[in-house]
Amino acid sequence: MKKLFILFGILLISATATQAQLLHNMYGVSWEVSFPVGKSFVSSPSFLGGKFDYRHFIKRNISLGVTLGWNNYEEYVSRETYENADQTQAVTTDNQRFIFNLPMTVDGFYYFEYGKHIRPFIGLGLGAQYSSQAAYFNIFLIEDKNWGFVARPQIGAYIPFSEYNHNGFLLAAGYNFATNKNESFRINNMQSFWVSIGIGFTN
Amino acid sequence: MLKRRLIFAVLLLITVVSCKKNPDLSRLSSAFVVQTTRDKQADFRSFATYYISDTIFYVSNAASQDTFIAGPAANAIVGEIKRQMNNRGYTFIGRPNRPDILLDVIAVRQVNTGVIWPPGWWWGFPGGPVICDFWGCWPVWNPMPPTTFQYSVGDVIVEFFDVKNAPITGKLQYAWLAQLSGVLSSTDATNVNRTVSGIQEAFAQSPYIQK
Repeated sequence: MKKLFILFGILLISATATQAQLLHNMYGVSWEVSFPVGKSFVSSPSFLGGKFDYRHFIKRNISLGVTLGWNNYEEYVSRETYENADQTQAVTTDNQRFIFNLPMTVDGFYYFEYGKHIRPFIGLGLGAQYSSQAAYFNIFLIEDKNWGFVARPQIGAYIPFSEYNHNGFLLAAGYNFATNKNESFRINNMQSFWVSIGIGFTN
Repeated sequence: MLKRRLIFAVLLLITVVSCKKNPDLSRLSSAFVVQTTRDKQADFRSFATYYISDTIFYVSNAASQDTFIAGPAANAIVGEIKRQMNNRGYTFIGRPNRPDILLDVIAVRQVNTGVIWPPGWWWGFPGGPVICDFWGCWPVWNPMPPTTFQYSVGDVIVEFFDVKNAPITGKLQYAWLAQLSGVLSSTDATNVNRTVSGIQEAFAQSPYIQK
């Protein structure tokens, strides 16, 4: 009888371990830190960012899904003089610069096998990015809101909490390129590198 | 099922949009924003003399009969403009002597008033004040009095007119314009100091004003 229980237990563990590899859906929530690169209106990183993502596994190693993220960039710029292109106007002020980005992408991920449970992945998200850019100075505000196309190539890993718990950590790093433009602030596009850590809930 | 997912997606979007941070404005200075505009056709080297009045035009929506500012405040502001112009090689002369440049200063003060109405959110809130009668207990509608607040914003405008070429062009055209803008202090001395600093910055950002 005891041997039967042990055999049954081994079979159950094997079945669960096999199931862990066959995910159907994953719901992720992550904290994202983003570092602007290139000629950027705000050069300070965004620590107040995150994302929600949904992934549906169409094959064992491939998922399709959607991601909704956000970032808040903010920077104080001390008193400086700015001139217009033909140098007929100039303004001197300090200012608080602010950008809020909201990328929305449709994603595809390919997963690799690494050990028994860790699933490294590469992915690409394509979609639209809403962005609001603002400069506050004295009691004045200049603000612009615009939309752009966004591409988010990324790498990462899904690490289950344990052999039997399919929920796990979602680690990722990537690059964000968006075509949002703002002539007032001389923004031609928005680029950043980002890293994220989160939790993926699976079923 | 689809409807439920749609509602969830909308709620998620609202949640994410509400993650927009309020900017931290605590570091912003109260110094005036200084703007200058120039006429690119103006030849500043062709001017030699200037005139500026020792009073300042004053425009305000506040209850005041004053239409100009004179005395120590005007002296400090006009004095700084004279100092800057002299440093750039121009000579102050009296108005009857037909100066090449006419400078004037306009101060604008706009007083804004607002009212904060407390919302009375405690209407029916558990633990709030109640009045009981034969039919039951009822929350008291006891709103807090509204609070008023007032602040002033102002502009100081310095106009630089090309008088020398007015007979030729048939127009009294400005060659340079400086505008200092921002919230005003309740202390006149602070406003004068900010204006003097602003005038210095206006000239600093206009190196082309040179005899």
